[in-house]
Parts: sequence; structure tokens; C-alpha cells
Amino acid sequence: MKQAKNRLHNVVILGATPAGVAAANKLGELGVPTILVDKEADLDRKLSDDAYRLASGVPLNYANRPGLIRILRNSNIRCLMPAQVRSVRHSQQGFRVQIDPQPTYVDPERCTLCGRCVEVCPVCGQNGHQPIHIESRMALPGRAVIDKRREPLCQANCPLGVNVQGYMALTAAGRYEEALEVIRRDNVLPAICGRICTHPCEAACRRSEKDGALAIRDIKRFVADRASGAPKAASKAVPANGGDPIAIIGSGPTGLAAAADLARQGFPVTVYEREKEAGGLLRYGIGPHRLPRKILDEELAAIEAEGVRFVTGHEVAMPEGLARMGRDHRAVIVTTGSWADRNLGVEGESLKGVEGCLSYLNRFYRGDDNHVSGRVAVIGDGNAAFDLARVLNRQGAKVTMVSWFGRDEIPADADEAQAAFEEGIEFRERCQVVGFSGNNGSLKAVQVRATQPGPADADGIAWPVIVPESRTEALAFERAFVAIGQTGAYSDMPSSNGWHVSDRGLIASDEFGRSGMAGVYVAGDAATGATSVVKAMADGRRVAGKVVEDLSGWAAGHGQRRIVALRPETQDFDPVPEDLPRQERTVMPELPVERRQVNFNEVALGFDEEQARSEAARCLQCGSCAQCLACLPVCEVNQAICHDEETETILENTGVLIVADPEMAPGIRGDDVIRAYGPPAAKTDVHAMMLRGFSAAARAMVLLKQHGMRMKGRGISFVPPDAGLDRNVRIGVFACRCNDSLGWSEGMDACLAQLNTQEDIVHCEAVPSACTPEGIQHLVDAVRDQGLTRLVLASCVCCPLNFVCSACTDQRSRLKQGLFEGTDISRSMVQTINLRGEVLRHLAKDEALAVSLFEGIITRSVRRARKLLPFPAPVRNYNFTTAVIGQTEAARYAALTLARAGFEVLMFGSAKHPLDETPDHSHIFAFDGSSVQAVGGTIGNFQIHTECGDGPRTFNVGGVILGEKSRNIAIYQHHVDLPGVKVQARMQKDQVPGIPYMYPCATSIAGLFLADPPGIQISKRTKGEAAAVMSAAAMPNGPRQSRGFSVVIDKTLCRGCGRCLKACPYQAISLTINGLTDNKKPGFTAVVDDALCKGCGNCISVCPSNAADSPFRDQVYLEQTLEELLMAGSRS
Amino acid sequence: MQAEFKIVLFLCNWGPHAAYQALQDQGADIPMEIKMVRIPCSGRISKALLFKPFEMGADGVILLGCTPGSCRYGTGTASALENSEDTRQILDLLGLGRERLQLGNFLPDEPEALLDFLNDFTDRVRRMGKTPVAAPVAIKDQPYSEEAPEAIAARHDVFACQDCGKCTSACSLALAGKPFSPRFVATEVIAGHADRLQVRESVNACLTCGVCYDRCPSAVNFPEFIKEMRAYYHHREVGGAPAHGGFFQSMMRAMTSETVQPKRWQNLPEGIRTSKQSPVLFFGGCASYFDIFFRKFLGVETERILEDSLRLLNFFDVEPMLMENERCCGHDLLWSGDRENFLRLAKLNAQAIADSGAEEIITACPECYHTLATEYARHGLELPVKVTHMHAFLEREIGKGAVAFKTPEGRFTFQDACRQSRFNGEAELPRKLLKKMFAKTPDALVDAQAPTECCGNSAWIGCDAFSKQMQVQRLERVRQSGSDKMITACPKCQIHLRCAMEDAMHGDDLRVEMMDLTSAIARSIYWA
Repeated sequence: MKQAKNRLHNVVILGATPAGVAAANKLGELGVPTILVDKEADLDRKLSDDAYRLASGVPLNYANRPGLIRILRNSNIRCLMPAQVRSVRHSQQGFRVQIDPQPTYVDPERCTLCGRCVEVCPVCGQNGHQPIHIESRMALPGRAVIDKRREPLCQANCPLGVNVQGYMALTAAGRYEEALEVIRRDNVLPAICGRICTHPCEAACRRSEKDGALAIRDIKRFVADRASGAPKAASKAVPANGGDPIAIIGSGPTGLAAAADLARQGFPVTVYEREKEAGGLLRYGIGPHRLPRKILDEELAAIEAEGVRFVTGHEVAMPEGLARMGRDHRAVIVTTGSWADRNLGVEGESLKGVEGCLSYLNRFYRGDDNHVSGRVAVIGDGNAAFDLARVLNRQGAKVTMVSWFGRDEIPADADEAQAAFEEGIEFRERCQVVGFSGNNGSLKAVQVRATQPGPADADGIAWPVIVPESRTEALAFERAFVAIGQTGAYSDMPSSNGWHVSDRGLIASDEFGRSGMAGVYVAGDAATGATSVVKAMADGRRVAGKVVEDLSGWAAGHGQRRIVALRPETQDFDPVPEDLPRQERTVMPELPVERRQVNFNEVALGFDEEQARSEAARCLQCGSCAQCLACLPVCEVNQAICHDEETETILENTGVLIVADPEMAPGIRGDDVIRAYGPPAAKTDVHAMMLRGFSAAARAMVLLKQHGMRMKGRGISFVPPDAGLDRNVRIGVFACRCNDSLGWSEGMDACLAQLNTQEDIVHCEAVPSACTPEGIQHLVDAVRDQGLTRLVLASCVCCPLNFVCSACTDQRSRLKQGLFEGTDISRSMVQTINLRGEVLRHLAKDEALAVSLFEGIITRSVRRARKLLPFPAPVRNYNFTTAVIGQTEAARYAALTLARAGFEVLMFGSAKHPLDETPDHSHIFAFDGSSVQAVGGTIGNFQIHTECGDGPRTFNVGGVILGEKSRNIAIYQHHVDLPGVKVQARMQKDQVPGIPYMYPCATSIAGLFLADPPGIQISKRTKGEAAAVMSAAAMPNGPRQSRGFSVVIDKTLCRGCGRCLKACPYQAISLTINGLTDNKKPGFTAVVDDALCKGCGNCISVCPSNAADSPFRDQVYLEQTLEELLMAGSRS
Repeated sequence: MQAEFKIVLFLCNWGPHAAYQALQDQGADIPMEIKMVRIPCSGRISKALLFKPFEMGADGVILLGCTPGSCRYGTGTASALENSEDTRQILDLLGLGRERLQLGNFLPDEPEALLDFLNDFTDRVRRMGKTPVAAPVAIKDQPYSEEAPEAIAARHDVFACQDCGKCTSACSLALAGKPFSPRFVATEVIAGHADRLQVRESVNACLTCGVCYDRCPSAVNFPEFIKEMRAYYHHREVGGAPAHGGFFQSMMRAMTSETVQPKRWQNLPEGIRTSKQSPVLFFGGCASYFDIFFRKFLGVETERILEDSLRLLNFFDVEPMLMENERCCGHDLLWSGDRENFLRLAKLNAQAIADSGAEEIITACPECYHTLATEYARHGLELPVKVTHMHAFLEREIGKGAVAFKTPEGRFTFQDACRQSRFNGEAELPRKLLKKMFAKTPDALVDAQAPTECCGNSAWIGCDAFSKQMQVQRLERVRQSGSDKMITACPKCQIHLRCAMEDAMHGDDLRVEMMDLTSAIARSIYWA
């Protein structure tokens, strides 16, 4: 670096390794804004790695759980998990880090880990993993994670974008109604498309590479038929506004799709149809053997049920009628299709007996012509031609198809052609109709010439050409039907007033479907020419969307809330497993040929349930999450699932960069990159890793020193801001239903209602989820509004204390934080019950038991709430100077690091080595020749008893760092008349009892640290820096709430026997003169130092006279609990 | 459904809590019998709390802590082991069986092992069957009818108090500096202020040593008055909290169930001769329980008193009968106000004594002696046998001659047992024995003429900084008198004075060797 950076006061830590977490903890305690980034989603899982297991046998995630929870609750720390680092660059202010947070689609502040989403998710991936999963209730952050991949190809290839994977999953799970709902979101004609769709989805199916594409269309049909009836979700939509309707002219697929979309968004819609019945091409163009009319009627009814009004037998003259329509309607969409048959353009086409396909079908379905017999030709080889041939065949005609292409090249669907051949339809391949010959104006023969494949065009299609020397052959037919396609219906119409018609007879429009006439749109075949049903529908929706957009003021939100689920387009699918068990595509059973004659019974019979489910289960679930949104209703209260979560790259300008996991940030170089990891060959020593993390935090602290406002001197008093316990008892009872994830019973409501009759219970309520922001706010509001002074909180929270044990969860801690921090609600006024763990878990198996447990536990808690004790509120004085004792290399680094970070340091020699050499820094005050005899006192207020050259002197400091190895540190004296005790500094080890859990560098005395912790192979410098940051972070930087768990000793009962002193590993207990003196030997009484006490209560169990007790769950409380659990008549 | 058995689970917040919670989250089938109480550390649960559930009718108790080496606080594992082992031994003595209490140690990631443990324990309890301890009767449901403090005062003629203050000036507690005055209690109760906190506290603090009664010119029987006032408070459920977490009262209440069959005499040393049929019944008392309970801290060996008593009986050719299922005499329940349970115990004892066919009961414990000989009769239970204190037996036998004593080494002093010297007016009895013991070296017995003050506690209540102060003063005087050994007449004097010697500050300054008079005689007597 050529020039010193002017660093921003924040830190980015890459990698939540033990080192990264340790660094984050210390920086968080120092109040430095910190971002912790990791690839994984869950801190708990990350640290549960067996490599990090401590020598005591405890996995690190449990041992360091308080630290992990504090990271989540520290407002200075932001956890970006899971996330990837895109780039890291040096900048003048430090570093510019680009971070790509990976979406989890679940809000960590709102998720309650209730697990209902996981239960309801129908998807089970190939490896058995659900796309939404909960690692455990211990997850940190405590939220479910949804795995999504890019859009599955089936959906991408569907013009309507139907969520195929979604309904495959739901079908496989036997949840047909939901499956149908998923289909209907994008396709309002599921039963119809389940029969006649050209299913481009299947062509894209990744399973086709293996053992055949999924029979998607057939499954759709099954679902639609099975779950038919008015769809539940789309119950009669009420137009949001009684304004003018939108008119849709034409009730074919385009019009229906557009109408349904508009209706769903709250618009009144009227569909005008010139024929007697709605359906357009679906009714007047497609054979009932493929599309039974009952199905069509049902689908129309379903659309009507969504609020679409149909007006049939209403012809609108084009274009004149449009102007009038425009006056009565907010907009008009023309979806009249392309009804004209294409001509062959050969001689004799106007003979009687020669007719276009659609023209005939139209008359046939209207009932105008239903008798065709004799030898008939169908000219053409597309789907329409085959359909026509089969319709004619069913009337008893002898049908021959005259095809341009060879039999293997025809463009119609293979199954459609196959069905026709099976039904006995003859097929003349490779001949082109060159004319019709007749007699008396009636057809007699069709003249054809042989064709051969021509040169392939750009798409690879070899369009047939007439074999040059072939001769014309006359084929005798009584009637011939030209089925070579359609053109627009408006070819004869002149353009006027913005109404333009193309030479293909199509209505001209811009790319958004707007015609030249104001407010008139065109969609579907009328604009694009003939396509498939699904494309026509897609076009209808596209234009409908544009209409909505154009009608400003009708923005989304009027109708059904539509969640646009997002997918990460860069996340690819898992590869199709090599060992995927082979399972052939299920073949749809069909009506036997002999039973198809002279009737229009549906040929394809549909799947039975077993077939449908097993076929749907073949789906590879390419996109992982199917986006079926089945999880949304169960999370309605919490609103934690956000399928539309969008993540953007975060550009973080940071002053300091700590790399704890080199894989997270390859390539960044520079002296000022703080690295908190060892060489790759280093054995995983979790304590060394933590020391590296502490040391990294220390270096960060030094780099940021110019911003660090350091407390200096002493005398600041921190008064715990606790509201205390009001004498007036006004009890509020809150039972958290945990989103009903384990169920809820009316009996519990009845129990709560019963409580309301007690005089001092002023509020009783079951809340849906207590730990969500709304839940917490609701509790706080209730306390304030009703002046509650005692709370019974029945949720999953086990204690109201400012205390984290290895079983605490994100949900518990955030509820406690929300309830107690900055709200004026005292922890001492709350009686907590782990309702979830102790009661609700029984509900599913035995409701009566659960209700009786509920009554018992609530009643007991109310009784206890009346007897709650206030927590003591100690006021403390603090000194912000640190003493460093000894002059080992590590001690000197510790002193220097603190000094450079802006702390004042006093340096002394140790008992054996008087101080002779000190680092040169203006913040270090060295006492040459001094040697420390003893250390007494407590964090924030230690006394260093030294022997200086001029005699004994005592210094007051806030923190102490010992340079000597632990075997030498028998210098701590909690009382002048008692021998110094050996401070515990060893780390816990399996089967070696007596050592409390400590972080490396720490000792059993809070505020007293070791610069050179033994048994950890790492540099002296790292150790010294680690000790420095430990000491710095231990300095108070804000008021502390009173700790209800500290033991309090009743002076009148204390016998001063000292058993408690021996029981306390933290030296939290000392003796003071109790005033009962006979002038010879004073009596002593034990006192507990609130700053050192950890609340374990080991002293309580050895006290002979009941003098020691904890205000939280004291002896009386425990005895009452036992009594209530055991005595006759009590229920628990 | 509610389970038939009741098992209390004390669950440490760290390793086992995480494991237990995983079981809850997994919906595992934790046996319905188990009732969980969360605690900060397994070392937090005192023996009293470990035993309390048994008094309440629990069929089993589990204490769950962290595996050795992983206790969050370091000391919990060892404390839990000591506390549970001691309690298990006491359960054995009581006939409940040590198997009903189990310590378990788990890591947080061992839910499966924990579930197995819970299932195994529950199965074991089911096999053992219901606890023999009947669930206690709630105080409000007890038949004892409350007596007005004024009536109690009247019965004990407290109105006769002349307000002279002699009692207060002689009271050991008052002398130790405690703001305590028998006269104050008397006048307040007479004035109708019995329910005032200060009065109540004083009633609980009284040592019931009887010095005041000795001094009272109006012969107001203050200890009797205090005893009944305590019963009054107990009935109103405002009694004081007994020391040691109420362990002993708890244990004694458990013994009030007829179905409890203590196994009292399991570990007698070899060579002691007893008989199934004998006109003499030896009544031991609670020394064995005390020794287990105080093993770690005081190292008292009060059971030796019983063994030495039996040896002395054998020495004088008496082969006494022992009651295998001997229960506590009930002294401490009576004197801590729980008259109901005292009576239950007394009835069971009276029946058992009657059934034994013995003609004479000998006991070495002054409390047992006083209770059996005096209190039972006062409460309407006339025993069909003669009750003899060990000292009286010895005085009788030694008086026959032909025995001599080895010369004791060191300088001795004597500590009176108030139930013997003041309640039964037998202060001279031990002194006669001492005189014989020290016949050759009278100078070795120091300062033992007048009855001494109380050891500082009675009935496991009222223990506080002042009783400690009193005991310290007593021991200091002993040291100042030049004694280094103390002869006691009651196991509790040993316990309480030893407790005072256990002092972080005074250390060895107060240390005095202690032995019971019976033991001292047993160890020095021989046939001349």
C-alpha cells in the first residue's frame, strides 16, 4: 500500500468458520458493524461439523450456542447466509466486496420453524430431499430454506407457462384439487388442453432422454376430470368495480383465456359470441371423439363462475360494430380466430362436393349437415385433416386421405394419425392435388400427381415437389374436403378508421395487440393466423395483460393477489441420475377400434388414478421447488415464505476484510487483508481456529482505531434499566399456538376463557405465533395498553432471562429480545412455559391429555406469576484501563494491540520477573521494576497489588491480562485474608471434571485473560492479540440488564462456612465481615459478585442454611413445582 | 391418559436439555410418567431437592447432567454425583431402594441415548412398583385443628410473665447478639400480634434449649409454648424454612407412611450381638442418616454412638432386640411444628414397640429418649415399656462395680444435651459417668460443672449467622479453657459444633476433637 487507507468503520468477515464466528462475536461485542458471510444457510449446522467437536465431547455448535445466538441478536452484525462472494477489490476506504446472497425464499425474522410448509410440500426430489426443508429447530438463523432451480423446461416451453412440475408433484401426492388449481392459474381450459393440447412441454421433458417424456397432457386430463366441478379458489369473483365491462368478441380459446385473466383481476368481462353456444373452434371445429362437449360445457361453466359473462348469438359487425362496442365498454378485444379455409387454388375447387374443412365442420357441428357417405377424400395431412377424416369416418363415409408428404413425414401428431389408420382410414401418400374434375358442376374425381421430397429448407423440412415426369391420376370421389389450413376471415374487408386487414385476412395490430382503433385489441388467430389452442390462449392472456396495463388505475391488487414466484435462473438442474430406475411412459388406454364406428364416443379413455400417480411420480422435479405454492396458505399467519424473494448483488464498502475461509474469497491479496485461517496442512484444532478469529478481530480493532471511541478512566456507572416488579398484580396470559403446527384444541381456548373470570387476570389470549414481529408487537401492546404487571407466556420460551443455554433457539431469543429490550417490560415479571415442548406435542396423539396438561401448566403458572420475585438490580462502577502482567512475547503483543486500539494499558512485571522491558507506545504506562503480588476484585474493578521500587502499591483497573502460563497464576485473591486461588485456565476435556467451559484465552474469572493459553499450537502474536480483544470486548459498552440467575445470599442465614466458595469455579463468592463481632474474631458472610456469577447454583446445593438462593426459580419455586407435579389432584 | 407412575426429571440446561428438546421436537415417545423440571446445572439440586419428590410420593427421580468433563460450570458433574450417591444411600436405608434415583450424563447430541435411558429407567420403576410413600396430605386437609395463639399462651401460663427480662438475659441467642427476646415473643403473642412477621421469625429462631424456663420466676414453660406456636404457624403454612433445604423433615415425613419399611440395621459391624427376642429393645435414632448426609463436609460419625452403645450393652451381657424397620421418633417434626406427621410417626412407633414384646427401651439419643419417654405420653400414646437413657443404664451397670476405665489422654470439656439436662432435669447423670471415667485424672475434665448452653440449633431450624456466632463463641471458650476435646451427649451437638468449625476464615482456630460420652465410655471401659 502506497497510501494509508481512510477506512470505513465496519468489517466484512468471509466464512462462518469457528474463526469467523469468533471474530464476529468479538467485533459485535465491540460494537463494530460487521457482516458475516457464508456459503451455508445454517450456522448451527456449519459448526456441528465433527471436526470442530471440542475435547470435552461437546459439538461446537452446542458449546458456542450462546455466541451464535448473540451474533443473530446483535444489531451490529448482519449475517448473509447463504451467500457467495462475487468479487473483492481494494478501495481507498478499505475494500469493495460484492456479495450475492442466495435466496432462501423464507424470511428469517418471520419463520417460526413450525414445519407446516415442509409437511405440506408435495415434492420429493430424486434423492428423497424436499425442496423446502428445516435442518432442525436449532437452525440459525431459524428458518426453513427453499431450494429452487431455473425454470423447468416443460414450463418454459409451455406457451401459457403452466407450472407442470407443480401439478406433477401434487398429482403424485394424490392432491388433485390443488393440482387442478395450479393448472388453472395459467390455463383455464385444463380438461380441454388435457385432451387436445399439442403439448410442447412433453417435447422438452428431460426424461425423454432416458425412458420417455412424461405423459403430461394425459395427467392434466386426469387431474381436470378427477377434480372437476367449480374450482374452489376461484369462487364467483365479484368485480371490484361496477364500471363498464371489457368486451371480448369471440369465445374461442383466446377469448376465454383473456376473459378469465381479466375477471380474476377484478374487471367485469362480457364475452360476445355469434354462435348459439360459446366455445368457438373448440365447439365448432373439433370432433367430440376428441373433445366431448360435456367437458367443454363444464370448462365454460367454470370460467363463468369466475365472473365472466357470456352473451351468445350476438354477432358484431366488423368493423362497424366495434365503434359502438367501444362506447359501452372500457376496452374491446377481438378474438374471432381465423375461420376461412385455405384454398388449394387449383381448377375445379368450386365444384359442388368440394368444400373446406372448417366450413364443413362448422356446418356439421351446428347440425346443418350431418350426413356424409360414400367415397370421400380429405386433402391434407395436418391434425385438422386427420380430425376431419375421423369425423367423416364416423358418419359412415369411406375416407381416403390425400397427403402431400410421405406417411412418415406428415406434420400431424403421430398418435392422431395412428388412431385414424386404426379406424380404417385410407391414406394416399406423396400426391399433390392438381385439380378437381366433375360432372354437372358436381365432383367426380380428384386429380393428383405424385410428389417426392424436395430440397430441405432452413428448418430441415423437405417440402415435397411434384415428380417431374409423373402423370396426372384421377381418383374417383363423391366429395372432397380441403384441409390444408386456414386463413384470416377478413380478407375481403376494406381498411377504415384504423381498421386494417392483412393480405392473409388477419387483423393488423401492433406488438401489444392494439389495433388501429382506440380501445380495440386483437388477439389469437385473428391476429396471428391459425396456431394451436395453447398458443392461442397464450396470446389471449398476453393481450389481456396489456389491456390491464393500458387501463391505468386498474393496477394489480384489485383482484386475486397474484404471487409471481421467482426462480434463480443461474441455478441449474441436478443432472438426470445415471442410476435412475427405468420406467416406461404410461400409455393412455383407448377405445377399441370396433367400438369407435358410427359414434362420437371419446377415443382416449384417460388414466386411472394409479396410472396418473405413478406417471406423475416419474417427474424428475427438475426445478426442485415446484412453486405449487401449497406452502403459502399454511404460512398465511406468519407470512414468512416469500416465493417472490429477489436477491440483488450487495456492494459492500468495508473498512476491514477478514477472510476466515479462503475458498470464499480467492484471489484477493494485500497486507491489510486479515486472514483468520491456518495453512491447509494444519490439523483442525478448534481452539487454534477460535484464537485466529479473536486475533483477526483484534487486528480489525486496531485498523479501525481512529473511529473507536474508547472509554477511558473510570467511574461510569451503569444502571440496569429494569422496570422491576409492580406491586399491583395484573396478569396477562398469552398462549402461542405456534401457527397451529402441532394443532390446537377448543379445550385450550375454553381453559383460557375460564381464567378470565379470575379477578387479577386481566387479559387472556391465544396468539397465532408469538415470535413474529406482529406477535411480539401484539404482546408489547397488550402489556402497555392494559397495564399488565405479570405475564404468563406459554410459547416455546423456557426462561425469561438474559441468558442463553445450549438449547436456546432463534425463535426464543428473538421473542425475548423483542419483549424485553427497550420495552420497559421487566424480565422478572414473566413466567414462561415451554408450551410447545411440554403440551402441544401431545395433541396429535391424545387431545384430552394435552388439554389437561394445558390446564395444569397454565393454572400453575398463573399461581407462580403471582409470587414472582424481583431481580436485584446491581449498580456497578467500571474502570476502562487494562493491566497487562508479565513481559512474555504474547503479553507484549497484547499490550501493544490494546494500546494501538486506543485503550489505556498499565504494564507490570510478574511476581518472578520485575518489569524491565516494555513496548513503546503512548498508551502504555509501564511500571519499571514492578512485580505483581496479587490480583483481587472483579471485572471492571480489579485491584492489582504490586511491589514497586518504592514499596507496595495498588492499582485499579477494569481488565487484566496475565502474561504468565497458567501454572503460575495462583495470584487471584478474592479476599485479603484468604489464600490466593489458582485460576482455572485449562480447557475442558472429556472425563476430566472440574473445569468450566471457557473460550481460549479466558479464565474462570470474568475479565481476567491469559496472553499465552497453554496447549494451543499457534504463534505468540496471535495469542497476545486474541487476549487483547477478549479484554477489550469484555469492557462494558452499554447498560446491562439485571441477571435474574445470579445467586443472592441471605446475610442473616449465611453462616460463613465457605462451602459455597469452594463450590464456585468462578470465584464469584467472597466473604465480608458480617458485623457480628465479639472484637476478637469477626463473623463473615458470603457475598456473590453479580459480574462473576454464572448462575449454576452449585453453591446453593451445598449451603447448609438455605442462605444461598437464586431469585429466579428459587427453592420455594422448585418445591412448589414438585408439589404441583406430584401431589394428588394436581395435573401436569 | 395420565400415567400411573410419577417420575421427576431434573434437567440440566446444557447437554441434556438440548438432547431432551431434540426428543420433544422429534415427537419422540418420552414416557408419560416423566415430569420435567428444568434446572441450571445438575449440581444445583441439593439432596433436599433430590429427596423432596419422594416425600411427595414420586416413584422415581432422575437427575440429568452433562458428561464428565463437559459440565458448563465444571463442578456440576461431581456435585451431582455426590448428592445423588448420598441420597441413594439414604433411600436404601429408608427401604425405598437406591434404584429409584438415577443420575444420567449426556452430551447435547445424544437424544437417542437419552431416550433409551429414560425408557430404561421408567421400565425399572414400573417393575419396582409404586413407591411405598403415600402422597402427603395437604395441610389444609389435615384433621388437626388450629388453636388460637391466645389459647396456647393461656395454657402455658404465659400471662404469668412478669416482664422481668431474666429469660432474655440468659438466652444464648440474645447473648450472641441476635435481636431476640423470649419476653418480647411472650408479650407480643399476649397482645394478639402472633401473626406479625417479627414474632413468627422469633418463634422459629428459638433454640428451645430451655434456659429461659430454668430462669423464669413465674415458671413459664417457654419451650412448650414455642413448640405449640410453631404448630400454629405450620398449620397456617407460614412456618420457617428448615435448614439443609428441609431434607430431614422431608425424610421423616416419608417415614410416616406405614408401607415404608426402613432397613435400618443393615450395616452393623461384626461382633455385635443382638437378639430377636429380648426384653430390651435398643432404639437407635437417625445417626446413620446423618452420617451419610454430612459425609462430605463434616465427616461426622454419629453412628458410632449406636455401635458403641450396642457394644456396651453386650459388655454388660445384654443382647438387645433391634427393630429392623425402626423409624424416626419424630422429635424434629414435633419441634418444627409438624404435629400431624409427628403423631403419625409416633403411632407407628408405638404400635411397633408394643408388637415387639420388649419390656424396656434403651436409647443413646437424648432427643429419642425425651420424645419416647415424655412427648409420646403427652400426646396420648402411653408406651407399654420403660424408656431408659443409655447413660442411666450405664450408671446402673457401672454402679455394680467391677469395671474400670483407661485413662483418657488430653483435656476434656463436656457439652450438655438440652433435652437431657434441662428438659428431663438429668444434668447430673452424664456428670456422674464423667466423674467415674475421670476418677483418676479429674484435672483432665475442664469447665464441665454447670450445664452448658445449647449447641446452637434444634430440630434443623433457626440456623443462621447468630447461631454460628454462638457456636464460635462456645468453641472459643472451649479452646480458651485449655480443652482440646469435647465430650458430647447428643449426635446433633456434634454435627452443629463441627459445622461451626468448618469456617473459611477461622480455619483450625476452632478445631476441637469431639466424641460422644457413650463412645468415650465404650472405648475406655474394661472389666477390672
